[in-house]
Amino acid sequence: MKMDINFGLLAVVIAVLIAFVTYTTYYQYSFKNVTGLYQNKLGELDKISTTLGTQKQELNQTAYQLSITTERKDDLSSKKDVLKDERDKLESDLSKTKDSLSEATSKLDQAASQLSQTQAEVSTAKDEISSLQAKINTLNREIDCLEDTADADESKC
Amino acid sequence: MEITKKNINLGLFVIIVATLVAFASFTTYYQYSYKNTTALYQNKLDELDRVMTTLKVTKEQLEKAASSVSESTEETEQISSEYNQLKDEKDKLESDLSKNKRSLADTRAQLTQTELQLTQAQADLAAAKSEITVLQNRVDEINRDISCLKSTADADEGNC
Repeated sequence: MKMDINFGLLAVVIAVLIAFVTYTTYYQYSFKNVTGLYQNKLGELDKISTTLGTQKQELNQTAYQLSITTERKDDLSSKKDVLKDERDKLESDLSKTKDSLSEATSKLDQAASQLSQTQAEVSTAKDEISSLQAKINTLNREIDCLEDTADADESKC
Repeated sequence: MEITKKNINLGLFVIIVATLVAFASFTTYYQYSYKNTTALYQNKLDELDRVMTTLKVTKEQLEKAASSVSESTEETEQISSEYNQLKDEKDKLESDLSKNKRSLADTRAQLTQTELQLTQAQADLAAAKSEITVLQNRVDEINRDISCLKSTADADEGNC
């Protein structure tokens, strides 16, 4: 029976089977390789997607923080401008008040000096009045003496 | 014997054909699967590139925003410092203005009082000068009487 087998066909069968196995093994290897790479990229994509999500969340938070900071800065800047105007007005008022005070002080000094001088003059005038009154009294007494005394004795008056 | 030989060869031939069909089927299936997986892989690669690009842009935006926040915070601190300085200046000016206004009011009151005193003193001086004139006239008059009395005889002194 063995003698009746066509060895050529058997060799073809064996060759086809070996080629089949080799081809299958190669394909499986290649397929496994591509699948592994695919899985790796999937994992990488997941990681990067997670990172992107986190970064986007951080970006939103930072944008919100920036909006708050900008709002606060604008508000403070506006308040500062108002305060600057108030300060400038106060400076102007103070300058005017100082000028008025200087003027009033000068007038007061002048009036005080004038008063002092006038009071001194009044005092001198009062002294002169007292002196004149004393003189009048003396002269009145001399007249009384002259009237009461004989002409010969008038030199005693 | 001839029949057996033919059957065996036919069987081998059938095996060869079956193996070739299976080989072709598997090859087609593997190629389909491989192509499919490769396409998926390529899609994911493209998606990964897109996500990477988006991540890069987002990172740049985040850095820019963080820099803006830092800059804005610095500016806010600067403005806050200037604001506090202005507030101190304003408080000091308010205090100075209040003191100066009080001094001005006091000085004006003193000036009014001094002017009143001056007016009174000037009136007193005028009155005193007037009195001096009167008294001086009186002294002159008395002196004339005395001269007359001295130069007139007692009997005629009534004319003086």
